[in-house]
Amino acid sequence: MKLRLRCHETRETLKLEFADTGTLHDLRRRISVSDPSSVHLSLNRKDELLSPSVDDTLRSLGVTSGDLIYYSLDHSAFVASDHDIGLASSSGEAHQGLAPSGDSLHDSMGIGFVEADLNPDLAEGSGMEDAEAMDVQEIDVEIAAAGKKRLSEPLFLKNTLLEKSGDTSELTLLAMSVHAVMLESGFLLLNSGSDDKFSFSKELLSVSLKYTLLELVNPKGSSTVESVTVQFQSLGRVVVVYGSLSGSSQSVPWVYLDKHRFVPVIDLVMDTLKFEKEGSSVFYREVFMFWRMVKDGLAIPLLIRLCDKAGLEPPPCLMVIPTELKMKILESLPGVSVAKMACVCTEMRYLASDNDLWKQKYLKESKNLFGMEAGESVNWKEKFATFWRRKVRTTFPVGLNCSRRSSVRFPPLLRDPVPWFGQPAPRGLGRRPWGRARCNHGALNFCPRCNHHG
Amino acid sequence: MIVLKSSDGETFEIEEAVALQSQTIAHMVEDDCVENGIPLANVTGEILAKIIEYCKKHVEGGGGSEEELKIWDKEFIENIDQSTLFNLILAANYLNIKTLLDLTCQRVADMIS
Repeated sequence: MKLRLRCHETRETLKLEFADTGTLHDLRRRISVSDPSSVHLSLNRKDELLSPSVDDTLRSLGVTSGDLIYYSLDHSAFVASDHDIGLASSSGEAHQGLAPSGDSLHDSMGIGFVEADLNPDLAEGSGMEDAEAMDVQEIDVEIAAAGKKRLSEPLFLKNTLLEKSGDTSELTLLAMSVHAVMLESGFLLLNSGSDDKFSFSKELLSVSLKYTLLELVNPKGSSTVESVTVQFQSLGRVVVVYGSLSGSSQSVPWVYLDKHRFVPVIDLVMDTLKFEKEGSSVFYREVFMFWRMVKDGLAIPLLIRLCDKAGLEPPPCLMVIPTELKMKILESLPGVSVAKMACVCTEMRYLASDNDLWKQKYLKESKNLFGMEAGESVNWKEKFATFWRRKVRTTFPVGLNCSRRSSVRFPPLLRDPVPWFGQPAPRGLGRRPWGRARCNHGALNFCPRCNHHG
Repeated sequence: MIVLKSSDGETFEIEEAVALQSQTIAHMVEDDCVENGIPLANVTGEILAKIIEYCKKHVEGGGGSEEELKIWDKEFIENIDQSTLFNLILAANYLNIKTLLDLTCQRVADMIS
C-alpha cells in the first residue's frame, strides 16, 4: 500500500510504498533505521498510533492505502489533550506544532474549517504565496476533519470579513456577510479585482456582486459564463438583498436584513476571538439565524436556479430526495397543502394526484365514514374538494368581513369565498422546487384540478 | 466499538449500541464485515457527526423522560438549515434510521404547510 509520512515538526512529507503485511515496527524502522523505538506515529496528530501486539499488521490497525501518517521523534508529540478549537485564537496551542506567526495565519486556519473544495480560490493560494501557508491550508483541512464544525459559520464569517471588508460601514458589513454565505454555499465571485477589499460606504444606490460556480468557469474561452447577480439596496433601517439569474426574468429570491438586528452581531463576530460552543448563547443563535436566513432564502434558491440552467446536479433540496420519501412527506401534510404542492411542478402534481393519498386525507379530515360505501373507483380528490367547499362555506358565509385572518391557516378571502375549481388558468407557474405555490385562479390558493404545466 | 468512515475521510468511533440504531449498520455487523471500520461513501463528515449526535441521544434508555427527548429532538431539528436537513434525510434513508427519517420528514412537512 502507498503511504504518506509527514514529519510532525517540519511538515516534510514522504511518499512510500509499504507492504500490506507490514507492522508498525517495520514502519518505524523505515523512518529511523538506527532507533525505531524513538519514532512515534499518529494518524490524527492527537493520539499515538500503537499496536496491541508486535505482529499486528498496519491494516489491522485501520491503516489503508493512501493514508497520511504523522511521525515524530519527540515522545511527547502525540500526547492526547483537550482539543480546543479555540486554537484559532491568538494563543496557539503549542502541541499542535504550529508556531503562531501573526493573525493572517490564524485567519487562514479558520477558513480551512470548511471543506477545501468549496474555496478553490483560497486553496489555489490567491493572496498567499507562502508555501508554508499552503501547507497550513492542507493541515487545516485535517483539523477540520477532526470534527467540531459547529463553530465553522462564525469563524468563516469572521475570516471572510477580515479578508474582504474595506471599511466598517453597515452596508459593507452586511454585504460581506452575505458574500461569506455565498462562498460557503459553493459560489465563486466573478467581479473583477476580486482580491481587493470591498468598500461600500460611498455607494448611495445599490451594490451588486456577480457569482458563478467552479464547474462553470471556463479558463480558456472568453465566452460568457452563467452567473447570478446579488444586489444590495440600503433602505433606511433595512438592507434588501435580492438575487437574480443572468438573462432570466423569473421571480427573484430576496431577503430583508434588519441593520439594527444584525450589524451589532456581525461587529461582535469581527472582534471576538473565541466563541462559546454551546448553541444556547444568544450571540451564536443570532449569527446562525442570519446565516440560515440568507442561505435558505437567497443562496440555495440561486444555486438551484443556476444548476438548473447550467444542467448541473442540484444541491440537496426537496426535489432530489427519492420518490418514496417525497410521498412520505406528502402523507404528513394536511389536504390543503397537498393540493398546493400539486401546483408546484409536474412531478409533484403526479405524486399529489395519488388516489390513495386523497382517500387518506378525506377520511382523516372529514371523519366521514360514509365515504367507504363505494368499493370501486372513487375520485377521492373530488370528494375532498366537495367536502372542503362545504366546510369553507359554513366557516365563511358570503357577506362576512373577509379581511380578518381565520384561525385555520387560510389566506384572506378578498373576492370570492368559494374557490373556482373549474377552468384551469392559462398562465403557467414558474418552476419552484420548494413549496409555497401561488396559483392565480380563484381567491384561494387551492386548485385540485389545476392544470399548470399541462 | 465501531468505526465509521465518512466520504471525506473523517473517522468516528462509536459504541455498538449507538451504531446499531442504523439498520444498515446492524446488518453489516451481523454479516461480520466491520473489521476495518465501515466506509460510508454517501455521507459526509459533517452530516455523520449530526447523525451520531442524534443516535447517541436516542440510545436505549434515553437518559431522560420522553418529554425531554421530544424537546431535545425539537431543538435538534429546528437549528439546522435546509441544506443540512435534506442531507440528513438522504443519510437517514441510506443508513435506515427510522426515527430520524420520521423526524426529518415531519420537519419538512411542517415547513411546507
